[in-house]
Amino acid sequence: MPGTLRFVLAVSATILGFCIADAAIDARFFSTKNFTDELLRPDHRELYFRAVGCAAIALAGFIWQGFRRRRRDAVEAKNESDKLYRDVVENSPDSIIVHRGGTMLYLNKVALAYLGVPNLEALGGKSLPDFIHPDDRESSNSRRETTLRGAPPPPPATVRLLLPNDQTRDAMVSSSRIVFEGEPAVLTFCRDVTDDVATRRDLAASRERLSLALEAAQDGVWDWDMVNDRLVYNRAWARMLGLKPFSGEHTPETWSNLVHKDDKKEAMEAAAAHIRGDVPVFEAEVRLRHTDGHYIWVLDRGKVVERAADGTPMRMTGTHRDITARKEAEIALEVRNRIAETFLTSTPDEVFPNILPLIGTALKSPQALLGTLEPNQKVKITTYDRDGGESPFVNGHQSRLEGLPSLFKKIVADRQPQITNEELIVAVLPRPLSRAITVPILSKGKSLGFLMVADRGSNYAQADAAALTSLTTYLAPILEFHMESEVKEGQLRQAQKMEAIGALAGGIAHDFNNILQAILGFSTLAREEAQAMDSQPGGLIANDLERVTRATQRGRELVNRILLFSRRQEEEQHPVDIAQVIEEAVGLLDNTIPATIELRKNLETGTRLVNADPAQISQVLLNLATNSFHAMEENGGVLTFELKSIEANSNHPLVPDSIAHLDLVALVVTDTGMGMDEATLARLYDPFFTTKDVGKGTGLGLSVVHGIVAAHRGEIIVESAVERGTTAHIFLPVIGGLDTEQAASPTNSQGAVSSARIMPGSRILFLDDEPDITALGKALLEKQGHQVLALNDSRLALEHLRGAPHDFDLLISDLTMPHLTGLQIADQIALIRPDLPLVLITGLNDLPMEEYHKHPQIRGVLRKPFGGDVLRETVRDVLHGGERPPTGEGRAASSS
Amino acid sequence: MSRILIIEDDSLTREWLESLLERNGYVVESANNGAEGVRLFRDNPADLVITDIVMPEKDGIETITDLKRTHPDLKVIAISGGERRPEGVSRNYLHSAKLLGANRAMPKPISNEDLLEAVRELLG
Repeated sequence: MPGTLRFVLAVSATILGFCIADAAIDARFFSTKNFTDELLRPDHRELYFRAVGCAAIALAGFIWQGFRRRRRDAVEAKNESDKLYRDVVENSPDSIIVHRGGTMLYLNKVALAYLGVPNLEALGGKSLPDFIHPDDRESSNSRRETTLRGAPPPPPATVRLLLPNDQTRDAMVSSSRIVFEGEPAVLTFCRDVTDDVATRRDLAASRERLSLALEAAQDGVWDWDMVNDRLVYNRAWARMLGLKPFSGEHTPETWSNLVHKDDKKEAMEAAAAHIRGDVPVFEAEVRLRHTDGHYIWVLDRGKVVERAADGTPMRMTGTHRDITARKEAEIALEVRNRIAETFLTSTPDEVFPNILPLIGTALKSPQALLGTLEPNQKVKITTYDRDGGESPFVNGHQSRLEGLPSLFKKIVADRQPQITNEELIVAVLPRPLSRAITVPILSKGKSLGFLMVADRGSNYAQADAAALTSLTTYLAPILEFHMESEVKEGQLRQAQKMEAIGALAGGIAHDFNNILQAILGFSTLAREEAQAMDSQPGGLIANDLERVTRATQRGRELVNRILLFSRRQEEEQHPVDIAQVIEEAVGLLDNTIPATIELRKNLETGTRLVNADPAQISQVLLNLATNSFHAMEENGGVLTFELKSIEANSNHPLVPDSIAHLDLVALVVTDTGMGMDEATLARLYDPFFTTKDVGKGTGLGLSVVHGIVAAHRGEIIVESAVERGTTAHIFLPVIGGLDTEQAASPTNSQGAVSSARIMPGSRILFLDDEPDITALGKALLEKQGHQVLALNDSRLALEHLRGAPHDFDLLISDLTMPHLTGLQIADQIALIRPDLPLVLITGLNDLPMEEYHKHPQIRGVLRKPFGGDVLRETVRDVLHGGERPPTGEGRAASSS
Repeated sequence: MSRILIIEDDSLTREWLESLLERNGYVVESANNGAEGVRLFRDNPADLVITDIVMPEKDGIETITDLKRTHPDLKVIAISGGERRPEGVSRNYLHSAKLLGANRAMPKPISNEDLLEAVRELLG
């Protein structure tokens, strides 16, 4: 029976020990307040404590039983039990030390090895405290004394031991009071836990690092006790959602109440899949409602970290990362792409109504409004109402800017976003808005309009304003495109209008001339009648009718002006006296430009003809003049037209190299207006580029000018500076002018050029009904070495030419003569000798422009009065020009 | 007494020409358009034809061509009321008229003096 009793006692003691250890552990366990600490506490420590506790108590029981039994039955089985104890003690994997007052009385094999001695004697008088780290000695002494007094054994503790070779080891010690060799002593179990402690230290460090990392990332951490359905979270998790940290008990319900309804299903499914074990990690992007009402985007990741043996998940832990910014950027990108797609697939009228819902959705707002500043100073309003609310205006509603609600005006003026998180009454909208953001749409610093989203359930934040502003950067180019196309459309309409006016003007001119014809004709007849009836020639009726005749002349000029205005394209170019074109243009401008602008002309006489379309040259002049007029509109100024000749290779600083080898005329239009900066100058000829206010110009003017000049093989150079006025130089090659690139002369030296130009000995027929003029012309030309036949009768001259068509190299003829005019002479020459060059002598305005292109023989014009130099140069140029065509017989004849 | 045929669709111009020329002693006959003019001329050839260019049915150019074919030496004055779309057409017409043998091509409005001078020159 004693064996059975011993066994029962031992088992009882073991159970008791186990209970004590468990109680101690539980007390310690529940004293742990920090969840994370609990979370990360190593389970093996607990197990270890339990084991040590059990072993200590059981052993104590055994020893106690042994001593009792020895007292009771000293002899019985002494050897047997001694052997058992010895075996247990000696073979224990832990060090076992029996000591009293610091003196070691017994060491088992492990303890001897641990302390580095072969036997007890080898300690050489060293006591137990000598092996204990000085910092732990005091607590260790007190434990020993407490134990020796017979007080309840203190809980196991870690003690640092100083071992041979200066080793410091961590040891878990557990002591109890025993009687050894008849005296009370302390039995101490000692296990080296150095590695465990290090592990624990590492763990603490890595835990700190993790916590630091999470903190730095501002990630939230959550831990779901799935058994008790409790959710705990860290500070960052709470902060992210505007919750107070550690506020009350939470369950996963807390989370699911915060998840946006549109994201919940998907997130729940992802979690379920992970819990089932289908996916290694739970991961979902969800919107969670912040306590202030707005939603944040969260990347929610987690993992089941504990499962029961049957696989039932016990615990799941994970993180929340705020990805709102990234998500919004993604959404913005998507919206941008959809805007682009909408823009490409919508008709112009649909673009904005189609884009607005995208913007409203992107900002989670049921209302959106777009205001676009139109070229006509109006604002076009486009609205979107997700719920299809009734709107008092249709899309495309237009308003004048000044008529807009002050909110919009402020946005346009200040160009700053405005967030309003309170009720807002906007006059153009049917009902008050609960809250709104309005941002300007800007491009290159220019206001193009404004964009508003409104009525979201939650307040708008700066981030929303930023998101909306980023959307405007995608809208701006679309707005610009639209405005540009509207401007272009306007220009097209303008062009069509001009064409219509032109057609109308043509028709009107025809009929109107018939009417004028009747008025002119009959008033003249009536005047003659009146004169015949009146006794004196200056009679009243005749005077009045004379005024009617004059009025008719003015009517005729008016018709011509309308025609000039409406005329755009001319069929062909022909020799034109640019001076005369300028005269016409100035005459027209005189009547239209206000008196604050002074018109000046500085026209060199006798400039050579240019192969040109006079209507187009007129248009060039009128376009330039119109620009100058606008530049001087406010302050007035002087508009100057100049015409001068520029010889080939004269190194004129402004003549471009491409035409420097040609004889040119320079048509210069100068104003004293506001001028242009370099940026404007650089874009001067861009079609549709205009700096003018709406209604003042199409922007086509200068590109047309450029086109016309180019079509005349000329060049235009515009010089300007801000507040310094503008000068346009138009260089046009003259007919038959020197082309030094093609000239036969081997060099371009001045001497060679001069000799090429002097054509002495040419035979000239000089015809004018005024004998004084023919005498003068003959004298001048003969002085230059020409042979001159001067005639005063046109019919006689014609007979001369018919009789000997090749007797002359050049014909100089007055335009207005009795019998045959200069033009009739020209017509006759065309039949008799088409290649004979003709120089016409004219008054200022008496050669109709259209006569030029009918008479290719006219190679030059001499305007009365002319001096010797002009006559000489004109003759020289015409004869030189006559050398150019292959049929230039005039030149050939003169040199043969 | 020189006979002048006026071919002109515009009644005011026609009346003016009739008045002016009759007062200056010419025998005048008038037609509304080129076709009628050519018919009148065939019945009773005139010494001078004054014809408008832009007319319905048969324009001045055709008229001149027709008349000149049978009467190459016929004196013709072409007159025109100016431009009409396509642009510049009548100016070209006047030019064409001259090429076709019109002795004068005069844009309206024409002064009485100029017209009479032209008529006198052509009729000698």
